[in-house]
Amino acid sequence: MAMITLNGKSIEVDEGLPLVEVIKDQGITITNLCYIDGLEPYAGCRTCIVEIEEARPTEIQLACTSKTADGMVIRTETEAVKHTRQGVMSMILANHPDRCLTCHRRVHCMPGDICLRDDVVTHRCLTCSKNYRCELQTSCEIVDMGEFSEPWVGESRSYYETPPPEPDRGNPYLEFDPQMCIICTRCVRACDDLRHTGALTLSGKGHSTMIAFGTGGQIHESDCDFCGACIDVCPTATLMEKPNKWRGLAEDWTNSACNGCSVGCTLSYGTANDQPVIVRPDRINPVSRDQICVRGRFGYTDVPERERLIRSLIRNGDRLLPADNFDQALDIAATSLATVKESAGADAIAVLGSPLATTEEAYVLGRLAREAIGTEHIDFSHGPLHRAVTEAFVSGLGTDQLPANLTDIEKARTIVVIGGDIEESHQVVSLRVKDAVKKHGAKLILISNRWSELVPFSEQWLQPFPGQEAATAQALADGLSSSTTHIPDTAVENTADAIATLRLAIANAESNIPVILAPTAGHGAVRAGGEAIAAVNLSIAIHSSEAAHNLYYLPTDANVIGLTDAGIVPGSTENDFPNIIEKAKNGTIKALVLHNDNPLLNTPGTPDIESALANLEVLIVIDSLKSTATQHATVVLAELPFHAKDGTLTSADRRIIRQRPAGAPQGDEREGIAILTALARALGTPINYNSAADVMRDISSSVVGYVPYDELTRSPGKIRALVESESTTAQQLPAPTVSTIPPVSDGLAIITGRSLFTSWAAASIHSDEADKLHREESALVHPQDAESVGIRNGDQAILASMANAGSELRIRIRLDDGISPGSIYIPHYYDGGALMRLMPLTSSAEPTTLMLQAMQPA
Amino acid sequence: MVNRLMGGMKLSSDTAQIQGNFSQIREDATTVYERWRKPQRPRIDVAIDTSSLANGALATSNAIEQIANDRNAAIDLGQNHGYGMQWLQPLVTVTWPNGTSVIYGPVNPDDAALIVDEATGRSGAASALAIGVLSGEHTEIPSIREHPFFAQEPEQRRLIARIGLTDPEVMEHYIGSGGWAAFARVLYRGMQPDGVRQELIDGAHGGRGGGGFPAGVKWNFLAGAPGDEHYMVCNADEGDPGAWVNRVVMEGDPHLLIEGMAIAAFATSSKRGFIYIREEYPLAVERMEQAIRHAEAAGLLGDNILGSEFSFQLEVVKGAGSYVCGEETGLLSSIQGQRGQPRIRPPFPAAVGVFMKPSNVNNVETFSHVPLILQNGHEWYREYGTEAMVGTRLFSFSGDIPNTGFMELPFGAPMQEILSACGGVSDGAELKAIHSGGPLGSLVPASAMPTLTLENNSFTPYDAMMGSGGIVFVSDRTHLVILNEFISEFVEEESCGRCTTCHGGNQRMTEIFRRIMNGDGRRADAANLKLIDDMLQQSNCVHGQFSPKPMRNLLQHFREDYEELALQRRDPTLTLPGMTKFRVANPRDSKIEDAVAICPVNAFQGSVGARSINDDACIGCGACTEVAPGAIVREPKQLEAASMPVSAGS
Repeated sequence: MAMITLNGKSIEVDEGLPLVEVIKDQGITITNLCYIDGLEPYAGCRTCIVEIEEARPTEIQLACTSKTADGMVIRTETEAVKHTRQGVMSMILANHPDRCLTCHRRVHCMPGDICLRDDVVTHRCLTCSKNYRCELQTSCEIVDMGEFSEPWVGESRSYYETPPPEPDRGNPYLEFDPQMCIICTRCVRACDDLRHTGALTLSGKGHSTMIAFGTGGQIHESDCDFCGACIDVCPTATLMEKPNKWRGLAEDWTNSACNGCSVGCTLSYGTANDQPVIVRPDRINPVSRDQICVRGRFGYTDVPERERLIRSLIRNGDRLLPADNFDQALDIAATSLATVKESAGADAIAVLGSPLATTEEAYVLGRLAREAIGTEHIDFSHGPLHRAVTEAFVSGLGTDQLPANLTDIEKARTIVVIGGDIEESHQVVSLRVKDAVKKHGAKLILISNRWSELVPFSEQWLQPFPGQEAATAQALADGLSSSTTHIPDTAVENTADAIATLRLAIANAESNIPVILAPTAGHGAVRAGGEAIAAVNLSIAIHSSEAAHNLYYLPTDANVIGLTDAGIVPGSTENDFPNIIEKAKNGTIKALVLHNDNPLLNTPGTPDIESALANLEVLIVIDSLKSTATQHATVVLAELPFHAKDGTLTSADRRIIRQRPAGAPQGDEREGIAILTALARALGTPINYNSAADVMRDISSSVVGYVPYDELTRSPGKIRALVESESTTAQQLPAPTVSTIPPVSDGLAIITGRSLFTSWAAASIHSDEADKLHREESALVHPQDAESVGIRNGDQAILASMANAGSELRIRIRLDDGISPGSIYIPHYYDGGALMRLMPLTSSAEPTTLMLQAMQPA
Repeated sequence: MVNRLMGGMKLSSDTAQIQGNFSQIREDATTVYERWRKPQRPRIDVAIDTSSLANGALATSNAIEQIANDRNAAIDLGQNHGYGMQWLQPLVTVTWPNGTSVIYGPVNPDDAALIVDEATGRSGAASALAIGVLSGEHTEIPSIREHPFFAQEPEQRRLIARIGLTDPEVMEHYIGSGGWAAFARVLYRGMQPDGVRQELIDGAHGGRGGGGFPAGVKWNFLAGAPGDEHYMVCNADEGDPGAWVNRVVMEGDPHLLIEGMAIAAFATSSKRGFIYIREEYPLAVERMEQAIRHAEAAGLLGDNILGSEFSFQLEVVKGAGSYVCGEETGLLSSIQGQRGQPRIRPPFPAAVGVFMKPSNVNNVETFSHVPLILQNGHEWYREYGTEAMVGTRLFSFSGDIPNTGFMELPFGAPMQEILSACGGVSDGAELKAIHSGGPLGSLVPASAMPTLTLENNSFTPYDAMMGSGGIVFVSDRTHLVILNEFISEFVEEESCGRCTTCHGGNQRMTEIFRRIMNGDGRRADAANLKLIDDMLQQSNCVHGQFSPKPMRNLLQHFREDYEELALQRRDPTLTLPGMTKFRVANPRDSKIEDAVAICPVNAFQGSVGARSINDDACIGCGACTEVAPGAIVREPKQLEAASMPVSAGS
């Protein structure tokens, strides 16, 4: 500890802290335009000047490079400090529009006023997208730039004398306007040190020094993932979100949850006029902290305003028309359900929930199904896959409540990742893996079908052929368990090295070796189950009795765990999702309540699911958008979009993340809970909840691990729905079923996955803009396979299903040697889930294959 | 020779074995070198170095070769490094079998025949070109040591003793003339690293990069650093305009630097070293790389040097054209493949250097003195210099002087005498200033000349520094503001872009100078330049901190010149384009049509015999006065003085 005197006040602080952080913690305003909390100082802006007694060579020092030391006497408000800061600031302002920043009238001006200093409209702060939320502006206030002379007016290369450089507005997420740049390089360091992406760089020198994306081209041509970490740190209007750029001045902030994947990041929504206008990460979440991904930051803009379902719909012949009011729609829904129940019994009604909804909604949906309807046909479209995974956990580890904590990943020295491309599906976890690699030199063993951005970070990349993921992970488990290193001939490349890496980690007594399992939803339940068995076996082989503490399961969708905990579980396998579809097809099930889910997008077997939905007598959809499933609906009840909901999510590591409404309902939208309880009441069962908090009180009394909201609020992001049993077992499971590699003549084995830029919601309504970047709108084929059928890079081709006769898909082909010959990658959400039409409803250990055909030349 | 040696070498801590290994090398090398010094038939060496090449040495060399072949002359051809009289290039040395060597220059291709004649026995054929005797006896030509240009040099050269006397591309010449002996002796006498460092501290060997920090003390930091992965780095990114002393060492005696670095590595337990050479020195890069290859092949670099337990891997890293990589931490970043940005200190390189490991960075010359100090002892080293700065140092002299070149001078040498050696100021002009230390250096007023010596203390009273070896004499025909603009533009362009004060401040400084040069000075400029000066002090590295020094010197020592230009808007030098107009004084001059032809903007109007200049079109480049000095004269533009004080902010 060190005693320092800060502006005459003695305080005790840790020794060796960056002084600027201490000053800010003390609530003292200080200009620091290039510093990023927690990173090494860059010391480029030179504005965090303070006076430190007896410092050498002068008492004027930078607060970012100075470290606290015992006896240090610091003054931040002396004349010398102020004058020097003003001088430095004048250097910055010479290359930035500054007439407003130095104007004494700035507080009186309105956008329409005529400027007495003759400043043109485009140069004014008032007409800048960052006005009132600009750090440079605040900094000028702090140092009273209005009272400093303007020494550089009219100099030949100052801001007003030179034409502005071209902005980059070529992508839907991020705008780069270099004329506003003060070259603080915060963005470069955020991209390098916080994200390990390195899409940004400082280019040129001297007068031509400038920030550049990639090699200086457009942002979307660089490695940029559009996570927006650079936007968060930019002190000016140089890097801005494109959506709501001009509306992003928030009136209020709400911390809330992201349902883009199961990591459970906390988002801070800025709202204006009762609608979200901006998203920032929220540091209260110990996993995501100051980082989110493109889905979290821009997810609220995925569905354009005109596509938002703000009125309930009722079927009129072939068409769905707006209901007069909610009650009318509700009445029809309840009546038609009651009719089916009366005529065919409650068992003829099924209920599908959604991992994109809140846990509270799921709980009420479960009660609706069981109490108001009386059916055990309750599931969600990813239910079988999720249960295949958790069954492996229960058999091997005695529990499906894995105590492994995502905050441990970045501290690990050795990490195993099994499954899909988590860089795209669970980017913030991928980031923590990269943190471990970059900060601690962790060795990453990656088992993945295709090249991903994690591959360059990996020590060993094991690339199994589709269907061989489980066998590959099992080979590691077997290798560790046997005393001799016998690697089967069939093992993929690098298996022996990976075993050696793990052996070394075990020999070094590393206790934190995460085994991360991220099964790919589109690959089906059987393969996910096999991967889970292998992951359990591997974790046991590494950790023995501590296996559960080091095994991480990343479901594809946000609230799979909360949904299951809340009771969206079929009465028996007879009642599960594939059976519901089968029964609907053959007419045993006549009515379906579909809450937020869209099986046509989520799971393979579109032809079966379509005919099941078409065969229903009654389909009640409760959703905030007109998904592809709603075209079969009897009634659609308009619900709030996720960002406007109240409730919680339960993340992959069972963290209960509070979701608070950011934005008011529009039109006749209702809270999901209100709709579900109203439906129950209309069916004659009084389920009464006034709010999500009420529901959570019930959940917390019936589901172990859940707590009421006031407790969640007390320790945000830290409470986990977890009952740590005293003794978790660690029972090696029989090796998973291994598929055979199909001969190439049988077509190409499908690899799919959740792509980073494609929005679930927009894909669910089959929007052309689901992938705003249009990056993923092609299939990846190995050059070898393409050559054999005469396809060149960029050609359109036909993919013909071998499972569902007659189903085919036209798609552009991109050649990519990041996949094995004999396989093909197609994004899961491509064209509203078009791939799902080519795959069978029933899952198997074998990969689905399809035929690649060149199109006749036009 | 080299391969045979490696095969026969035994790894041993046995000092006799090491000594034996080296004796063998030296014996062989001495034979080679003596044969070169006393060749069987006359040999003509053309000086091949960057400066000579720029002055046509290659053409001369080719011409000599052509004539020698045509005549089937009984002579050999070779190369060496120029002796230092760079205004007399191309230089050629003729060595006769009796060991007498004479330097001739300037030897243009037309003179090739005379040189061949001279070499083949027609003594006196090239006597008009003879400059001096390099070695041996000659009845008619005086010794080169008596040449007035070298009047201030010590009787014997030390650092550059081999210059002219060896072919820098032949390692045997270095070894045969005493090279590698110092390091071999360190090894076979079983000297300890701290002993080596102490010898340098006793010799008060100061770094030659400009700071003058004692090298031995600096090495102590590295030697004491934790871990066994230490790096020895040579800063050969000599980028100051007007300084080319490191280039002379690298192109003229590359093995001296290698030996110095090997000793430094030994003294600090470093196993790897880098020589960071600016890309603009391709010949230095080539010769250093070749020298390293030769030394490695001879077992003098690499694993188990001379069979000892000491290993040292050395490699050349080429810069990419950034001046600021000459700042040692910027250089370290650049070696690592990162952007050449100077780092934040602390940590210092001795703790966190290249690849984040303990490192030491020294200048080329700092290393190159080391073998000499160890060979001759620190007392010998102290024979020259002053109390504060010990030894000799290489200086390059240029600017408005007729005799441009380099000299090895003791610290404390009188500047007045040096200017005389350089032939005084060109064209009878008056000396205005001494520009030392490059763009981050100083402008010392001519009035300092009587007492100015080559020592930091002598420069200090003028708020100036001597710098790293480049001295530029500036006459009163150059306006110091244009010099300042040149310096300021250079520094601005070379700013790494980290500190706003540096890339912003230097931009503004350049713009102010440009405006003043254009006859648009303001009363506020002096105050604003002072503000820039103050702000630049807030920069991270010396690039920013020192960049306002020439400007400060301008305002301190040349205030009248500055104000005459900035406020009175008068340019007595008639060199500033914005303040000068050109007039046809004699339209009938025979050269005037040449001037019309060369004008880049076609500013001449009127017909032949009645030419005049359109002032609006003229850009003031002055090319016309150079081709037709009798026809066209410079005149000042009539400009109003800056009468209104321009108050800031209005």
